[in-house]
Amino acid sequence: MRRDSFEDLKVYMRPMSVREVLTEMKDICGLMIDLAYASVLLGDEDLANEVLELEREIDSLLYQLWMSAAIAVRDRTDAEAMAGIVKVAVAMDEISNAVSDITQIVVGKLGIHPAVKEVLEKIEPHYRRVIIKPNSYLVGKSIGELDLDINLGIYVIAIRRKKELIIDPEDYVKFEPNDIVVVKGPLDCLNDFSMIASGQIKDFKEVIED
Amino acid sequence: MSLEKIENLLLRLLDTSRTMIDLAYSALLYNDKVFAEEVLKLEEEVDELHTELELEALKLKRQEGEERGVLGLIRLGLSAEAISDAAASIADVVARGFEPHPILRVAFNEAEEGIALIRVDDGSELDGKSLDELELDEMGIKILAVKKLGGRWIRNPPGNLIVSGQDLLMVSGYRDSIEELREMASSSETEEE
Repeated sequence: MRRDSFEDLKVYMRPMSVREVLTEMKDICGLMIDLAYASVLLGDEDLANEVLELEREIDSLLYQLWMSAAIAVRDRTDAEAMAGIVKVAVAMDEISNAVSDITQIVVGKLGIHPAVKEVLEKIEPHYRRVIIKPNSYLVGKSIGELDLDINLGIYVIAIRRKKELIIDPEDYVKFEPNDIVVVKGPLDCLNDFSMIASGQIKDFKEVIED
Repeated sequence: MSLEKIENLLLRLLDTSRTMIDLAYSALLYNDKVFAEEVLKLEEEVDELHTELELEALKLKRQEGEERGVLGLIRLGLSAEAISDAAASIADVVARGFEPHPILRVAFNEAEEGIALIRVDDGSELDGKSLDELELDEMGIKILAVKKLGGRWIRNPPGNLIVSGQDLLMVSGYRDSIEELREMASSSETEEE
């Protein structure tokens, strides 16, 4: 996405506490790492672009944090405590910058070296793109109701549905036929999920109880 | 041959930098200087790995048109190094002894799963047992690495490795299981500071 003006970049003070800002920064950072690695491994430009979008969000959250922190500090003790928090937030911003640089391998003028692919395939957690077949057990069920993280040990990072890309889907999101799902987790768990998504395993219980 | 070396270096680099973020968060959460210092040491290790990786990448024989791929590889290493620097600067907050703000605890306590460092006390339940004997996988705990006193981190340690007092364990698992293991690694009820 190209910006023609800097108007929309201005950050206005939002009523967020320091804690809320920090928690959100941490969550977004974690998500960015997953998306960046997955984008390189799968050669997926859309995932890479989401990382860049999130990076801008982190930038504006850092401004938020400065503002909330400035208002919260009343005396010397507060200032000392807040110094650590601000340092942590700045470090998170640095992480997000480094992570978005990774995506240049996919969207920039860099290439994916075979060794990079080899390594990303080996490293934990693993990432995989899976298509939900119309006859799969998953169709019509929500992520929350399936309890995928607890039952299968996997996390859904993104769902591509026709032209839409849902990043970090909420629990209420239901799988639809032909969804392309990007998931992360240990290899065995991803294999189980693939089998269920393809309809090769009909009943969820087959994999949960071993 | 040298490609294999590159893969090995890159794997360790990416793995370590990512682990460092979790460790740095844990150091904040527990306000633990031992954790924090480990993160700072890992940062030095990452610097070495990164230099080695770049040297190996320069040695790669490449054909016309392969430059972009090699540059991508170098940049990935650079990003991992930058991530580890950032993790170290989080750990620095703890190492300097800033009183941890309660906000930090709340913000970093939400994840159910995490990575932690556990110091094994002499005479604790873990002291003298092999990793296999401890059956940690039954607790849902995975040992990522072990560090003997004065030694370096041993990644993916073999099951017959004997755990002894003063060892540092890097583990991943659910918070509850980690707390349970922390108690097993402690020789007494009271925490010494």
